[in-house]
Amino acid sequence: MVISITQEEMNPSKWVDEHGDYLYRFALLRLRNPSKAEDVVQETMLAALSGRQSFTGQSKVRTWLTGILKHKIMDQFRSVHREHRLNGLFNDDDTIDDLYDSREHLIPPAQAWSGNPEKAFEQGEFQEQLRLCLKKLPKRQATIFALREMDGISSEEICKELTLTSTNYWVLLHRSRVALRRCFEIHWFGLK
Amino acid sequence: MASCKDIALELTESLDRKLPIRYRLRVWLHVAICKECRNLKRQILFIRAAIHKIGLSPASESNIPASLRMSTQFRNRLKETMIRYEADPDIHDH
Ligand SMILES: [Zn+2]
Repeated sequence: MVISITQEEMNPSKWVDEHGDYLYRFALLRLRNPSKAEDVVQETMLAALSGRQSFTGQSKVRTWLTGILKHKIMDQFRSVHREHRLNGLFNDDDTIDDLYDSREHLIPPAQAWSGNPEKAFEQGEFQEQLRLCLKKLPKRQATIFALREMDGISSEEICKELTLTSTNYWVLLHRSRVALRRCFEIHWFGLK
Repeated sequence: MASCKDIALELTESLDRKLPIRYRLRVWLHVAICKECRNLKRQILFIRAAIHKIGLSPASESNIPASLRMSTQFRNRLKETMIRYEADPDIHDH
């Protein structure tokens, strides 16, 4: 038997209470803007209502809703990147030059972390810190970081979706990783 | 000897896919003697692991801060919109 979803689970009035917070958090961590996150969650719910017949019951309702949401988020990302491209060729994060000093060392130097950081954070606190750190990144870097490090999408796929050259992509990804770890270094480890 | 900046993009790339041997060797030789790049690499991998282990695993919803939850206003508005949409899907076409 394929259908394991009960009618109860497919009852839309339950979707918001049971999956709403999850979907909202998923969108917020990626889009970083509460009203944009609300917009895509609403679009997702309405698309789900329209497409209810196509739901085969082979996945969980949450997985199905999250799949729709991912597409909506990707649409947002694409339009941001399209805008960016139309607005000019040169951006201040197109190279990694400013991240390094004259001796070509990272500024500030990557110091060692100590302690057991995983223990120090409650899950909710960690997600909140992740949200705050992502918020500080320039848009394109945050998008790429989310797609690569959070959603595990391949580099080739990201370049294709966002029409990025591979060099540009590695620069942005490197910048985002350096900045993200620096943010955690300051706010999680309390290093200067 | 390649500098930290020289190998930076290759280091990042090496965390995502297997580089051609020539570049892999260049990164490896640098990282072997550079403590800063070892720290950087370890930290990038640490953040990745932490995101997957504690950041994205299905949360016990109870300890999620309010800043990561939808507001009550939005929750109610969303429910109303869904009810209206179900009654008349066409209203959202214009
Ligand atoms: Zn180095």
